[in-house]
Amino acid sequence: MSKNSDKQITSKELMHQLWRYKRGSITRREFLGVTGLGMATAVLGTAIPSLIPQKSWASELGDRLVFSTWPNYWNQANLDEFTADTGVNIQVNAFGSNEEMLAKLQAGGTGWDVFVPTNYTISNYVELDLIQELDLSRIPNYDASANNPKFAGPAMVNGKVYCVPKNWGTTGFIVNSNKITSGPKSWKDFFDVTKGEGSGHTIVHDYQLTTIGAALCALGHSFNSIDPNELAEAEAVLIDAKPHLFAITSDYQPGMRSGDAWMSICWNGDATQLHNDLPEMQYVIASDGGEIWTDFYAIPVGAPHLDAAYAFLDYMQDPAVQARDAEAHGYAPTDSRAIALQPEALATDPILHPAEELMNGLEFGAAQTLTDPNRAELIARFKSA
Amino acid sequence: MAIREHVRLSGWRTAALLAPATLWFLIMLIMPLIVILIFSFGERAAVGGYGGGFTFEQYANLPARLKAFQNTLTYAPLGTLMSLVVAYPLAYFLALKVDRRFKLFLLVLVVVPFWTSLLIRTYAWIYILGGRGIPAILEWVGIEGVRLINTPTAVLIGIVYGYLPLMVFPIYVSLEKLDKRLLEASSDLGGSPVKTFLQITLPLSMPGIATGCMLVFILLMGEFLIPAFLGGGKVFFIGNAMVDLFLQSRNWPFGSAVAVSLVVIMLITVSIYMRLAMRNKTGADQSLM
Amino acid sequence: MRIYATVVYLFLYIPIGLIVLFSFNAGRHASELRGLSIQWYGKALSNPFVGDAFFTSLEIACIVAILSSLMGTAAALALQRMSGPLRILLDGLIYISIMIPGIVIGIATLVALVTVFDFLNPLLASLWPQGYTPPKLHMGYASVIAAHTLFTMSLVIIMVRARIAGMDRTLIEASMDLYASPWRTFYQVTLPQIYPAILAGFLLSFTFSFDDFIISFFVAGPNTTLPVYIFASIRRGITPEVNAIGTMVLVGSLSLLIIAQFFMRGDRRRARVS
Repeated sequence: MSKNSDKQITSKELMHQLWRYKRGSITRREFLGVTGLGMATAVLGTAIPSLIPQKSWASELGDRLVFSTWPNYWNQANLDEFTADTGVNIQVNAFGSNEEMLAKLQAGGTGWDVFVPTNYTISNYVELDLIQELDLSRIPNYDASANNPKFAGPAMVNGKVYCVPKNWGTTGFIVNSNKITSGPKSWKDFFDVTKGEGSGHTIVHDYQLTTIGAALCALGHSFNSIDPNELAEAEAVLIDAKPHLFAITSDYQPGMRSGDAWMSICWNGDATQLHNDLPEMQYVIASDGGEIWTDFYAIPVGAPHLDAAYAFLDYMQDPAVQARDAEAHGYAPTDSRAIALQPEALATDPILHPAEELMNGLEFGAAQTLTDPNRAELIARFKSA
Repeated sequence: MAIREHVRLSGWRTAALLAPATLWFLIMLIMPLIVILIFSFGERAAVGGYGGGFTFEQYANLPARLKAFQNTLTYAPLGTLMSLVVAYPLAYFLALKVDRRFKLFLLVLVVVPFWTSLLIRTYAWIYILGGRGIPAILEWVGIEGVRLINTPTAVLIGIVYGYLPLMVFPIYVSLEKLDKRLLEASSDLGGSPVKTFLQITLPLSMPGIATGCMLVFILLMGEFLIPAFLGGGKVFFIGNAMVDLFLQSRNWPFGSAVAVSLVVIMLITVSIYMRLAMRNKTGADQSLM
Repeated sequence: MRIYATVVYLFLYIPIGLIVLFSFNAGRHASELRGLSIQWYGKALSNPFVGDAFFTSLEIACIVAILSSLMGTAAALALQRMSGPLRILLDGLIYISIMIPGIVIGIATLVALVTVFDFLNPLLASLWPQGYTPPKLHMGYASVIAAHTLFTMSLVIIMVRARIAGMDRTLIEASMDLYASPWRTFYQVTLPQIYPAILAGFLLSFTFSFDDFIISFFVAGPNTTLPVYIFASIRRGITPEVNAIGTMVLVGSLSLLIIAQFFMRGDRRRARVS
């Protein structure tokens, strides 16, 4: 592959060469040689970039990758660089909950190549045969030893590795301190403020893990509880709060940013993003409990662009890429090499890396919490009420 | 009658003409309906999906979604009525008061918004009804704390907005056919404009009203986008409940039960409606257009 | 009256105006206007997934329109000569397929097809000769086309039937008396009379299929149609790119309308002259 084919000829240069050709200064062959590849590219390339000749191994990877992830969870610059390097265009789908991803995968035929499951779903996916065992030799950038086993552990099921870690995070709530001045510190406070000061301006998530979990913690129970009595109490709390809610959604950033919502169940990375733009946004890890979680990259069974998927996974495991990603989405990587590359401010940011004692009350989501039919029906009843 | 016999298509030709359509109905209508009927009597598998079995528990559980049914059965007729109230004067204006040269143009102008995706149009309302839109304007004027977005009101506004063209068209069509001389005659005979309207215009435009209302109502019963966008996850129609059951709870049997009940409700309401509204027997002309 | 009409038109167009306005947003968030720029149009046009989604929608809509016009007309012709229980049954099916909410069709079709495929795929795999990869049935183009056609075909049947009912029968009878074959009768007598209804049905089917979101959302599988893509964009975090797409669709439809107007006026003028 010649060097020229990487370079696009500008229209100015084209016209210059054309003029030279017309004058006879260069032969037709020279003209075509200089402008030949560039001609078509110049005309079409600026308008339709996918027609620009890509690196040679693009044909092996295919031209696209379908990537299902969560809202505000990626750095577009990273994706663009991947596309520029490999010629693979990335189609991003955003989902607000693991339940929805699971539902789509169960229905089949999604055409996804890479998706982002949370720790408590991995064993379920393996059981349902929806996720592929990973060939780690194709992901050389992944260094298992550099990843904190507390977070990366769930990637291995029955001795096989099914995913690679993306980042970890906590679930708490975010408060617009300009509007809500009472300084809520716990889930109990959260629901009290919802019915009081923050009435009409609070958001809860639309899936069962965090919303029911928050209500359970407010009552002093475990975040992951599937005990029917405790669940019934939690349901009462939620139904009680519902008229005071602004919205039930996992995409809470637009509401918070526009000022329509003053408080929301929140993941800490979104909190970082919001706090950076609007300093009055305060993130609170509730004193009565909450969630700590790890997200992974995984490849579903039947992924149509397997080679591109592996290339993407490998790319995203590069510590430099991870650090850049973290810059954009604000979550802490599990990979120590990536943390080392982070700027001082991020590496010590209290939202991303909270103090140990604050995290004591946080629980990892449990596999059976995902599949418990009572919890599923509870949240559906709550939303429907 | 003899001639009719003579021109009757031979049996196999009729069958051949009918075959593709019948096959389609069989595979794409009857089969899916049977499948969800079967599923609705089943049990949810442990991880979600269909788990076999035969039970009435899904139907017994329907009252858990009572609010959704209530919402739909309240807001569908209400939305239809409101669309009618907003659409009728406009259709009247277009059919009877507008100069012939501008009629087509103005009519098309009503339909054009339909050509932008409903998704985007509804999303624009999120902005208008949200904190930076109308409430901001109202605050400027001094009225504080008005909450419009994520309320049933917002959903109603979205409904009227989305279905207005659909309601205007049939009413316009039937008003257009009105013989203006009838109106002249009425006023000549000393009838007030109100009386003319009530006794002549309104009854004669009934077919249009009936068609428009039925169209809008049918579509509203299955609505899910507008409550999803403008209701903020708080306002559930039957459609939302169904989607949630399939895409969140992964409770296929219960979702199927909700689907079956929706179909049954629609069958009942539409037949009642048709019996009431189709009292004037212009059967063949009473196509949905 | 006029004031009322103006208010209603404003009501209709202010959201559209906002959409168009924000499509020129120089800022990144669709909810805050930060200066003007046409960058989003460039992004939308150069986004391969937008083009993909658009052409997928277009292809599907064309096929749906053709299929439903053909099958619908055939069925309408056959139906109007039938009577008895079969006719009643088919009438019922037609009305049910119109009346059933799109969401039920979408979900039911998804559930049914997934179940059927789950059953058929292993079967096919076991029956297929060794060494060849068996075909794998899955949701995609075919399922979307099939689901759309169900509804649009019924639309066509209703419209064509209404037209046939209002048709002049004597011409057909005369043609039969003169020993014309049924095909000729159809082609030279019936068809010219009913073709406006077929054309209207074709256009309506195309529009419905192109704009449909609910059914496509459930049954499209890995394929994306334009409305599904727009929905995914809204979920992804709405950037003005979506506004740009919406504006372009609007302008495109308007242009089609104006062009159609031109042609029709040309025809009319020609008709007047001749």
